[in-house]
Amino acid sequence: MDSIKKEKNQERCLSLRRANTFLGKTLLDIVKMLQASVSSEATAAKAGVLQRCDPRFKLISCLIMLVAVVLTREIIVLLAFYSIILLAAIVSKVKLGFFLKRTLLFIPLFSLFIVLPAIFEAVTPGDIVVRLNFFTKEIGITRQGLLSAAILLTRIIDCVSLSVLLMLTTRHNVLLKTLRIFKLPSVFVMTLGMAHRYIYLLLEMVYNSFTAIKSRVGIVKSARTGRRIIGLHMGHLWLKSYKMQNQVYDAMVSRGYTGEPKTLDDFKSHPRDFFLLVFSIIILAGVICLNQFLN
Amino acid sequence: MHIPDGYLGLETCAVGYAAMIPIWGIASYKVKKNLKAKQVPLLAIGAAFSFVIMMFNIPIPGGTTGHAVGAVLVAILLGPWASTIAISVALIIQSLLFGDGGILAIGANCFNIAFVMSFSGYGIYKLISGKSSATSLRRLVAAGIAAFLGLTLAAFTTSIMFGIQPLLHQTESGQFLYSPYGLKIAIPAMVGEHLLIFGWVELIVTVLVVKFLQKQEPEMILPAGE
Repeated sequence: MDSIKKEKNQERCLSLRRANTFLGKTLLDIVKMLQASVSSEATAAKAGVLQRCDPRFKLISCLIMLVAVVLTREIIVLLAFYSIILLAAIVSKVKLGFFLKRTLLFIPLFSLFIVLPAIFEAVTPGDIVVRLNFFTKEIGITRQGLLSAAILLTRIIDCVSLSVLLMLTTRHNVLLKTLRIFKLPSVFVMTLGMAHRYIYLLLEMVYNSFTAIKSRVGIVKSARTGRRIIGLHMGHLWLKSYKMQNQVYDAMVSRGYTGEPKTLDDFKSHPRDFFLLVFSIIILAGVICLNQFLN
Repeated sequence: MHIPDGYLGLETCAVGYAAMIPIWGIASYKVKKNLKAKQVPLLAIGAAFSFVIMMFNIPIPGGTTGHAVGAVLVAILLGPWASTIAISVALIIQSLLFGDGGILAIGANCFNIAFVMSFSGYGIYKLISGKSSATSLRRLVAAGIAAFLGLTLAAFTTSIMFGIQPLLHQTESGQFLYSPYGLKIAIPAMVGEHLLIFGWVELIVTVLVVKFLQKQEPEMILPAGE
């Protein structure tokens, strides 16, 4: 009887702990995001090679390099790309441990799980390299499957690393401003800049209210109550944000807003920026030539 | 559902941008025309709101948590064109500043999440809610069904993008170059998980927020002009 009671108690504690994880997880996600933002800005403020480049050239070069990586079909070339990216990170004074953790942990690890079934002959038929006994059935791993999975994973790592390098070596508000070179509609440009600032404000609101729930309520008894709390919070957050628009508009008018957004252009290019652009174009041309040669 | 770079071939990414550029153009024109000057910050607030609700961990049965996208909710609150801009802005910020979703895949991601989900969800919401009052149960049911189906449709278009990769890019030796799974695997896998888990998360969140707004500010959930 006692053991049943004990078991029931344990189960209850576990379900309570599970029901509460959403609060802790959301708080942790917010803190992680803010930390990532702060460390990104700190790295972007360092006097590294990429930090000194004109962000417009950096963004275009990054896009060209991404296109080159996506077009690449040879694993050795993808590995060479990765070495270049790591070298660029080092000369840009990005902490290598931090960079590797940021680029290798989440998306590539998730991709590994996605790509794993594709190495078997059921998904990628081809030359069998190894045969495995899976219960009563025999399944084979193919050479084509293995190679394809390796290429896809390396390509994803290269793409993530390039994006993270751009993000770490450019100040966030400057990077968003750079998007103007693509002649985005003015509504878009203004919304991007303003939304970026509001994200932090709304995150602070959520952080404060969730901390208050955690410290005052203590525990949330069930997942159902948890969902109700989230729903109420989202609704409340929307109402608060909606009511804020008038104050924001008044603040904009007091700073000279007349209906058309105006932004300052303070970008200056140097010869090194052209070197970066030419370097990425040469790489892309090299990849295109290599693909044609292999075809 | 955010597609990272590397899964899609360059052609698919280019088609994603080609589809989204006119959509962004029309959305900007429509929003500029319909939005009063005083409501301009609302678009930015809507984008920030959608970014933040994607960060909420929602408890789901089994002890784990899931995330909502919120595109249908934003479409109900701001209209589908404004929602397309707001969600696109949130996705661009996620991709460029936080590495969540690929830069080359921004067009594809915006097409699936910002456009397909906003428009399909809003259409379903309008169809089911009809001319019912702001506080009616019918409107609440409409919001839930719209959120569920909107997300599932977005998952469907995403799975098509994944599924066509082996058809478009495969070497003579049978080696795949991008996403390895064809339509027969990609569609059931993506649509299935959204029908079974994430669709319900989206439904619950949308219903709860709409219910809250029905009590607090019912006129907010009425489409413009009603």
